Amino acid sequence: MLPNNLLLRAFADPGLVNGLGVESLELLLAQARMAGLTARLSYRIEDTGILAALPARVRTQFAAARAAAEGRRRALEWEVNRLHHVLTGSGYPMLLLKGAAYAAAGLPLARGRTSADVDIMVPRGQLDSAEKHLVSHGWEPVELDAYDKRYYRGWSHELPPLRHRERGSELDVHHTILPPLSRLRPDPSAFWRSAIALADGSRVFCPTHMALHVAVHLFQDGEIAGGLGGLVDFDELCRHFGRDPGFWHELVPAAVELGLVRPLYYALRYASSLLGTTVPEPVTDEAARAGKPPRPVRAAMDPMVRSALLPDLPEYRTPWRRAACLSLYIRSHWLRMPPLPLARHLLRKAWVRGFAATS
Amino acid sequence: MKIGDLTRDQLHQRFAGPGLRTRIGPFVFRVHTPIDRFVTDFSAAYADFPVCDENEISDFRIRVTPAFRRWPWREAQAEFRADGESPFRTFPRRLAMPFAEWGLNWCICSHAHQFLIFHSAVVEKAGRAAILAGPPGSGKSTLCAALLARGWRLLSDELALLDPARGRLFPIPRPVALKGTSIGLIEGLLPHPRIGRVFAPTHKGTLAHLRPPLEAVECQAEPALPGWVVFPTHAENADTRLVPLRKAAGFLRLERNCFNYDALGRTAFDALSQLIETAECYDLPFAQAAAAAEMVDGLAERQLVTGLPLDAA
Repeated sequence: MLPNNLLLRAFADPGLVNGLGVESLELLLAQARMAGLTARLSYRIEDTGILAALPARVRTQFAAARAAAEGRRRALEWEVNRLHHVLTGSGYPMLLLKGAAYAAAGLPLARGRTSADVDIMVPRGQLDSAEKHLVSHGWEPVELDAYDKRYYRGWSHELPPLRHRERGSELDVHHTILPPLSRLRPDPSAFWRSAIALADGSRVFCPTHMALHVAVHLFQDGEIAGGLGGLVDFDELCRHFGRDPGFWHELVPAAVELGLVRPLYYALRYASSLLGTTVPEPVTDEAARAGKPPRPVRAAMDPMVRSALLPDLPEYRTPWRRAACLSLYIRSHWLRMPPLPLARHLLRKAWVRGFAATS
Repeated sequence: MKIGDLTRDQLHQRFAGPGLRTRIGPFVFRVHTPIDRFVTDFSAAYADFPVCDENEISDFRIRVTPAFRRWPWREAQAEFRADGESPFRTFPRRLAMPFAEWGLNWCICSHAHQFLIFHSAVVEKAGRAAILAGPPGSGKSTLCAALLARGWRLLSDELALLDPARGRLFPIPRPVALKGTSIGLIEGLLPHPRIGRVFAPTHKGTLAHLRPPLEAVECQAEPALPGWVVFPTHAENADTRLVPLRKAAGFLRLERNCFNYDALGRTAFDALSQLIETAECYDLPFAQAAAAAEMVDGLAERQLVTGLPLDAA
């Protein structure tokens, strides 16, 4: 029996927060703080009209988290403005990804959302010259050891992170959405073809690609552990874009075209079962037909995903959770690289970790 | 009920069981720990702070717990976690108290954005607060203690919490962290200093905690309006004097001591402008803390005579 994932339940049904005792409310707030979701949770609760009924101390914590999130959003918008100026201004095509895109497009899910860094995509062919251009305009490569540098260059779908000299902001420059040698290799030209131009001239993924990118990040590339925010992103994108039936019509075909049906299947499955995302039945069936994994895989994934979404708090720490997180961690790497380089990479990581802990 | 009213057994029972909830300034901390030595140190330094009711929701849940010791010949380790997050790796268990104090600062600075937070000491006299701002080593703790000896009330030794909406400074009269030679200095300055165990050596040198004055803790719910902003700098051969600063310079100097100025944006600018508008700003190079305190005290005396020209709107 898995413990009750309070934060997940609060996002699925914000009204329940009103009935929580002190102990549970504290656990919920701790979990939200750890996942960086306090401000987003507070807006969800406000939307249901029960914010005023919560203890004053909780409302103060919410107000503080919102203030911080607004500050981050302001900084993010300024970063995007500068990147737009430096890259688009010099003729480099640029697509905004993730948080930067949600903020630039003014999507409801940008409300209270905090991102650690800015993510953009440039065409593979212009990657090197775009990097040089950015470096000459103040974004400096973050110090990495030789191995990590080689890893990024050889195995990753993004450049080693850049950090702005004055603002300290981190920038990830991608050329596609998955590592080039991973099991799934969507063709990035599709993203460019259907990208949407915003009023200020920046471009973002079209709605279906945005949703697919979140699904991929969660279930193909990421570690799922601590991925509750990603699942909430997926849910909110579906809620927002799903008001247009065209979104649901295009979703599965777009995933088929890009070869991303498996991660989409998982995202739809867990968003609807855990967060109550409304997915039209034909879409669920279509995704299942195209992307359902074999029964044993499904049987293993369900409990593992549920426990990996639990926070790393003492209340939730169990050997089972640890095993699930480890399995999903290995899975994410398994999907990312061919077996031999993977074994080498994991050994190296384990060695570095052990070494760092003892020195 | 205060922490000091609990017996040893009651303390251990709370800390090891449901956690001890205590109100420290505007915050409620819920502290869990099974480490005896930390229970002793913490409850001595925080003896005058109120214990909260079980039904009072906390702002931060703190756990100070033994950590895994990789090699048997290394000294026992502990770790600090606040709501699952930690600002640092493990540390020697005997230093749990100073590390927990840094941890509490970290909690406040990274989450309490309902306030504009400055790295400074704050003391109050006759309803007006003096903000003593400066980097570590500038002598603000020593000056702060010297002012306490002259009857000023301690609002905070480390963090100024400014409520941006109403321009008031909220007290958080936690133990004063004394480093190195200032331990001896303060023993000489204060009539009845209550200094706890001396921790040596930490990465910041020798360290001890001065238990906050009883009156400061009893008045920890009473905010004060800012009156002065003072930037002390200690130097052996300094000519001790108050140098008036222009408002713009005071603004920029204080902004540099602010932890969350960028996060609060416009709110921060407006609140800081308002503060600087109502407060006088001074540089204070000093050699002797007692002499410097006398000068700051003079500011408050003058205010009592001339009334309060600084009143906030």
